[in-house]
Amino acid sequence: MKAQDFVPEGAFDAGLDWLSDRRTEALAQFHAAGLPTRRTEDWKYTPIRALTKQRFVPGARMTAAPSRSLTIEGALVAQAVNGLPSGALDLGQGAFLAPLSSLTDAQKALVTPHLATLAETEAQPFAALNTALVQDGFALHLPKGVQLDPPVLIEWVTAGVDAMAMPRLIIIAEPNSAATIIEHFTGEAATLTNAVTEVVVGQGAQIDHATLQAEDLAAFHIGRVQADVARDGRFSHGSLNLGARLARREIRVTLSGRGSETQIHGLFAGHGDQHLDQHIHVEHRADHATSNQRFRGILADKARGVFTGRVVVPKGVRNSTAEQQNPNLLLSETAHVDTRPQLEIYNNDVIASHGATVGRLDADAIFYLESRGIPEDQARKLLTAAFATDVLDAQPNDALTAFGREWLQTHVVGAIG
Amino acid sequence: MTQSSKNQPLISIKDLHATVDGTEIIKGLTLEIPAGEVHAIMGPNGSGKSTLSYVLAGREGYEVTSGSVTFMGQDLLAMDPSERARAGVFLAFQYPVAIPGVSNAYFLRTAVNATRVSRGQDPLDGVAFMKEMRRVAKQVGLDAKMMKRDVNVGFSGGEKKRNEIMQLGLLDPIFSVLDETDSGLDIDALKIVADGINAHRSTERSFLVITHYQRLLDYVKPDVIHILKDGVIARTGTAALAHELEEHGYAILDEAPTQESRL
Repeated sequence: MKAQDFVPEGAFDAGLDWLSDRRTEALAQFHAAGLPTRRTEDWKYTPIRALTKQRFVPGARMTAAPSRSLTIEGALVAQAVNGLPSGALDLGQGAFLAPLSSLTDAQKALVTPHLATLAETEAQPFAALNTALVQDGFALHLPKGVQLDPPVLIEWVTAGVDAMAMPRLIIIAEPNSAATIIEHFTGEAATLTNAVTEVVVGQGAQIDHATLQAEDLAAFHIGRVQADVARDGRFSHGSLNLGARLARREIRVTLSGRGSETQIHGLFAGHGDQHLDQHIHVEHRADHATSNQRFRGILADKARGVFTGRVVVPKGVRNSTAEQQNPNLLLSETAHVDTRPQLEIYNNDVIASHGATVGRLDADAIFYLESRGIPEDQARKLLTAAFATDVLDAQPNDALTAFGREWLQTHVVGAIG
Repeated sequence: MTQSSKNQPLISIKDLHATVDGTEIIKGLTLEIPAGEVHAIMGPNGSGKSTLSYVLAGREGYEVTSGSVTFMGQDLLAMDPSERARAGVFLAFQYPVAIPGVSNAYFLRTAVNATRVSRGQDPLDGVAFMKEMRRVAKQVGLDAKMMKRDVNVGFSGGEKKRNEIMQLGLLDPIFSVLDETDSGLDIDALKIVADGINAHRSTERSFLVITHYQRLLDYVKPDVIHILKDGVIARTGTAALAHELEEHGYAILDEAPTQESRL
């Protein structure tokens, strides 16, 4: 399908007014880039034919009952259906979470310098599409030094027949602020969610951010997180990529300040015909920066997983530490994973390590558990859950850890014979 | 228990043949262990000691080609590994397996409750289990903190072996096979392990102790010693046999048994 034909009629005109210049540019970039094909290097292992064959329409504004599948105790909860928020949240201490469509002039002044400037749209068709069609979304602003204690939970629900949603979130953390922000993606069958989250981590700020992709198993999900981390800032990101028939999560982090750090911990767990792609790009642009990517994949039935982990340390950037790990567990003969560590390191002043493995459950461990009276199927389930412990425990909230465990038990290990 | 079953051995291995990767390792082994007895098996490397232990535990790839193993009147070989364990057969591993991502406490509780439920007992709740676990951990000299760690991950050789004996204490098996549990242990650890085994000895329970060294048998006194050679029991005798073996080596198999070592 041509990129032009993929944009529903009238969808562009319904977009945010005050962003129209940027949206016009993004639409042109989307048209120029076209939809990815098998020949697009970054999409080589993720064919999207099923997605481009379907005709989507912009999801309507509506309110939905809050999801009960993820409950975070004490959290401040906001919701948006089809990318369109139901209201603002007062976060206290001068911090706000407000719909992009109803920002005050003062709020706009804080948001405009960053919104849609961080997330690259050149040759990035889905980020361009989100930017071009964005009608609304959330802006979260943390003033200087504000440390938000309760976690913020944002539920993105995509609903309606053939609905297409463009969830958009921008997080601006001024120097020395801190917060935990969790995005939960969920929705109905045969919908398309195309999300973009921009995160500006100011000097000395600390943002713990996580995305839980738990869409309907017949839905499509494309999502992008793009973060920029200033001096001594810290961006930690958790990615649970679990739902959807086809899902692609892109995580792009630029360590632009000296001593900045990012920790990225992800789990992708698929069964049936699911296709789960994670595409990570970390760039060290300043000295003494640290990055750590830990992703684990568990795939059952005919599920496919893709992990691309790129780390770039340009020439002249010194004292970097860059670590990356991607162990994968295949639970069936027909499950498949493509893992591609891509370290582009252009100097010697780096401590770098990476490891990608693809394996099956350890027969010795199964026998050990059986020899203690644990039946074989239970032993397999226990070991599968154990494989994910490392990355699940690293999620920023216990509710996410529990959700991931529960999902594994309900959906993935159920597929073990 | 009826009179007739009381006279039966707890476990009876008859003319057992077993292969690994198509190679016959156990070549017609016959062995009976009555309830309440400790039997030791010694023998040179490659004689089939570990193979025997895996065959009894039911490990995949250890194929029984003929013969029988009867445990408390049941056909042991017809049971899968976890059924054997729940029926009361325990193997203390020579090389206990590390399981990252599973805490020792969770593993032990899952195992204990699998066995309890199959015996018609109520599963232990968290509190009751912790109490029992602490008691047994103390017995084998394992710090309670080890229970929070992942199974055998980062454990020293001695800690792994003590963890095995701890499992023996918790699972309360009727027949235990100890596969070179003494190897790699210093004398203090050896004594603790031996104490753990001895604490479990009773008129109902039996042990098969596989070892290279007579050392362990100073602390766990066996009733009978068997020497395994080339897949068969080459000699059976009293505890004196272990001392003769220690002194003269396997050359004693070429000579007639001494008066002292004769059963």
